[in-house]
Amino acid sequence: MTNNSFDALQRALRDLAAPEPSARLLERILESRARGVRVTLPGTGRRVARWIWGAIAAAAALALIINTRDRGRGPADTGSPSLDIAATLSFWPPDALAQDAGPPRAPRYELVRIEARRAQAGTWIYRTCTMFDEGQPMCRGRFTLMIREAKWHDQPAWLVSRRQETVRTGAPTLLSSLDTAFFEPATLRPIYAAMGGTKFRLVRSFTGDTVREALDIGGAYPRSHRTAAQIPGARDAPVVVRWSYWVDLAPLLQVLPLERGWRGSVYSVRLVGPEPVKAPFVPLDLRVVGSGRVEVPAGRFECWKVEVHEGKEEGRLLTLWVSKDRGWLVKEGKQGTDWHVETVLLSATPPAP
Amino acid sequence: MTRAMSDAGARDAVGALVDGARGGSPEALAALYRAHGVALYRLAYRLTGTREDAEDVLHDVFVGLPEALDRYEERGNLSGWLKRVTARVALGWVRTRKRRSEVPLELAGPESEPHTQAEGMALRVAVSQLPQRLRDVIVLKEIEGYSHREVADLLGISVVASRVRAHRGLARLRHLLEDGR
Repeated sequence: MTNNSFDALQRALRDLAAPEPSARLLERILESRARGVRVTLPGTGRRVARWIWGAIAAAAALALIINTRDRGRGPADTGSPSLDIAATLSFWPPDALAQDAGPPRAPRYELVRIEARRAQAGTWIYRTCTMFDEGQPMCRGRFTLMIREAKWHDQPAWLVSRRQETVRTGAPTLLSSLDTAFFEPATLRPIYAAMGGTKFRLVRSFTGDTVREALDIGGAYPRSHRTAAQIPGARDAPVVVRWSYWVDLAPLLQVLPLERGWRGSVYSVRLVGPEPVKAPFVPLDLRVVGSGRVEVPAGRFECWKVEVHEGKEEGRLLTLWVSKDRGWLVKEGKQGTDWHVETVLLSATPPAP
Repeated sequence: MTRAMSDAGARDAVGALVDGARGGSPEALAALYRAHGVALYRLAYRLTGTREDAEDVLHDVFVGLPEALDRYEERGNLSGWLKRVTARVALGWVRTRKRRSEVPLELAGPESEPHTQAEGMALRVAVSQLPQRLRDVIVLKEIEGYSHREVADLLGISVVASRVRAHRGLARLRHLLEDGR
């Protein structure tokens, strides 16, 4: 730039070059349409004035206050937590929350194909730190991921288990087993997954395209749910087990053929039974957005940077750094409005090359 | 007379494509993509800052287009309407997924565009370093040529705010380029 007056700058900006889309983009668009993917585009009309939004927000807040005043009403139906919640609200009848979640959202990309032979046993220890704006990071969580060769009804399987350690100042370290799951080695579909502690236990069994769920909740209103549902997608596609927003992708990452520009979707299974307004099967959309060298306590790794989304409405779920050579999850980041959670690899067995 | 006839013919052709795409015809959608895809991709790229995001924005726009075309009024300019839709999708994309702070791959890696000579590259880097609120206005007003009224509508801000941000954006760019010498 030899003359940075505004006029020259404006001319240079108008002449600024930009790349062209990749040759495969049109094919991808037509494939998505053919698979039934639909996107609701925003309108092009004028936006509603901000004061109208303010008035709507104020009205909603007023309605919420009126609805959530304590009227001493007990649970209406101990068989469903969502109906319990509905029973405490004045205007919303319990039936209003007992509706179906509707069909699952279509995956954004083709379902992932895996290279099963790349899966490996081992133990990986991670540290989790939470950082708030302007604050010191709090590093109180440490979890261990173990993958072992095992048998499930005499058939080979991967046994994946996680153990959580919570470090508290001036108190003993809490150890808790998070979950145990068996996976088919050829497809990385779950066979059996169990998790829980003193207050609840959740067991999911998978056969073909069906998941059977058993949820037992303790506490003041103990209850149990038994549900079965059909998993969408191909019967040989991998499926990820999750609990609310927590999702374990580490075993899957080992067997994904990541490369520059790679994209793929995988269905995740969350609670099937007592949350009727939440979709039980949510596709996770993964894509490689970059690469670079990452240094963590376990060593220095050349990594792919992978973003994980769960639908446009809910935004980015996770950012992952995955080692190029072995597919290890080296670093994981989750961004909130004023917080950031970062998980890094402390050590691994077998050791890093 | 001949020109008027050829304009009418072009309008008919566009109308047929729009009708075909509304009806779910992949051929019509592909034809619209070939006619407008590159310009829309460049707009999305400038707003999002990375090829991957721009491709995903364009993917969303064309996947959602057959249903969205129900809202398109034939008397309007299709290209302008598509650009407004793309800009809205790209801006929504950027807001829900905070822009990555690291240098985009295409600036850092060996696969840079051959036409990115030193000055153009410096300007691209400077634009990418602008705060998002200034960058949006600079891209829409100065690069894409929208009026301040249109920029204000797209971003949900006042015309005065659009003018102020454009001025601040240009000042910031000049400062960044001078610092980079």
